Amino acid sequence: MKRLLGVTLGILTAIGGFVDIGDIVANSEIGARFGTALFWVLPVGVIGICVYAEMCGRVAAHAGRPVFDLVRERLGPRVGLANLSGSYLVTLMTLAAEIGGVALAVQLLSGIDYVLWVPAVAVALWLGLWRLRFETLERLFGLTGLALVVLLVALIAGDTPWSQLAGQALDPVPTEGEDWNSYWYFAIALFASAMTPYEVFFFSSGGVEEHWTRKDLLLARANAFIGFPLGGLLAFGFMGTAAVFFYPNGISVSTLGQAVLPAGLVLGKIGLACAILGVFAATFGAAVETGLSSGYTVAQYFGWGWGKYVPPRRAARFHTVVLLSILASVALLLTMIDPIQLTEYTLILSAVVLPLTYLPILVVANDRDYLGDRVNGKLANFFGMVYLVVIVVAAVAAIPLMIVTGGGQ
Amino acid sequence: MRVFLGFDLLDRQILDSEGLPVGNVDDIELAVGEDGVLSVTALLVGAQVWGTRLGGRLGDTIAGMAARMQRRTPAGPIRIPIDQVRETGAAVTLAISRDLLVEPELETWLREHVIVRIPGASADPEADKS
Amino acid sequence: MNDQAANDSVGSIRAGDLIGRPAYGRGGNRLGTIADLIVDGDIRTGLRVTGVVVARRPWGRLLGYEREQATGPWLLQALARVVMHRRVRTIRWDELDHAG
Repeated sequence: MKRLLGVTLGILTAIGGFVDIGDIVANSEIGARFGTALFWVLPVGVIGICVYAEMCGRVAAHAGRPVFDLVRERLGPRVGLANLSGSYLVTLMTLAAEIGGVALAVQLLSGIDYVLWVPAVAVALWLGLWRLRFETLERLFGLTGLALVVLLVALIAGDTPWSQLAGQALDPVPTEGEDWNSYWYFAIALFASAMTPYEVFFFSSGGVEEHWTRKDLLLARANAFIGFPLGGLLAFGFMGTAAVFFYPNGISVSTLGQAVLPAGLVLGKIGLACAILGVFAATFGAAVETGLSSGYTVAQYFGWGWGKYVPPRRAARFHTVVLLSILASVALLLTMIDPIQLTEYTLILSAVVLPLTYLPILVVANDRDYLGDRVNGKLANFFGMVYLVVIVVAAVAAIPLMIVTGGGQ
Repeated sequence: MRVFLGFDLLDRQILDSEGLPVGNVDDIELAVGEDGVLSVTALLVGAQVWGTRLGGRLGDTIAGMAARMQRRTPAGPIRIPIDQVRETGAAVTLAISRDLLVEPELETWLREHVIVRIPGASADPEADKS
Repeated sequence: MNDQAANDSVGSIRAGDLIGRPAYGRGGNRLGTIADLIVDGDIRTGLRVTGVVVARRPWGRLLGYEREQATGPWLLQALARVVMHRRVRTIRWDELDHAG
């Protein structure tokens, strides 16, 4: 049992990357507008993050170094600072969105407006980050977030036209009313969210928090190769149910309530309750991930002590950054900005930051000073290079597409 | 041994003898000999040094602010003599514990004025591991 | 013995002051921009700067492919060579004009 629980880091990281509040609504929206025509983006994203998370996990286990150490070291202080600014901004905006997402989940249950819940959620988040052990956070939110599997259950248990879904997935073209611009905009948005930088920041820092050593290489790999495919599956739960329920009727999705509706339609109240619980845990988990990552990035760039594996008094600057980030998120949310709109801006910004994050990882994964004999083999290098090219292409196309499509309208 | 200052030392994480983070190598101090030969004397750590090295208006502003806000004496950046370096590799590891080094003022100030005021600041997460 | 006093008196400079500066040969010819400093020796006998890595363009980082320990995706290495390594070479310290 303990062995099984050892992959909760991968699961929690994947939840933040595949089914955070932005992804939940985006996957539903994509399913509603494109059916399964964009299905291919999910496995492509899963493979990409698996490849790079494995590299980061290897570096964390073998050399004990987290990702942002590599960024400053390989890119230099100036370019590294540019990356820090971009990555921190993306992480902060996502943190705000996740806190908003948790509040939205509570609104679904209580009927009380989400803005009123924001301060309570922020306090609960900060308390959790302050007092709970890293392992506890991983297990609590990683495992409860798996309740989102209810969407997949609804897909399987319902009257799903599988051959239709498969047919459309194998014919990846824009659907009626959509053009190639919006098609690629959403493809890039989904891909960028599958590979957002804070996933690798969190995964590698988490590996150090868990005190991975050279003997834990297999464990690190298991975390990556089990966690992220699971995340992709959960995301497909939203895409698939939206493709079945909303797409045929031309209904567009823009709210959390719509995204979880299919669970209720197929499995009744229990299904809906499960889905909302899953959303609550997943968004709270994503808030944990981005909250800690806001501290990890800044602290690791400057070389400060960081992490939950030491008493807070030994990492004062780190904990201050986390606290300030949560406060800034609350301030941002209190401007009444829609948390879901917020994630859409963030996605495209993160596409642009991606190349600067993944290039140093690929370079270091080949460095014998870091990994000795465990440097990348030909397979890892092949996939690493391919995805680096894809990431650069996505980064270049992201902003023009956003402008041309007006943010996917 | 041969070392590339920029690649092997600059911008690397510094760890103490127990593997705890000390800071980043923000710059390196070189002594100028009579024959014009430079030798490495110390690693330099801190916002002043980092700001100066970053350059530009932003870097100079930060370096200036850090210098003005410094209260410990003697003034100047945190300096780690090069003979305290035990090995270089993925990170730069020192032969001494970080308790023997000057703590960055920001860390001290934040710990004393913010962190310690919150209950649970000394709680050791590793203590009650089952 | 741990001396924490800053040593900014005449007779000491910083690596950051040198890296990024133009390098000139003894004949006054410009060799390029200093990209890195090569140091030989050990803690006891002293770590002395014995050479510099000079690049034609003022790039900050060379990603480390000029060292022996770096292997890597051959495509990245090739790219690094093309983009950044045009005329990256190692110059001995005594071949430099020290006024600059």
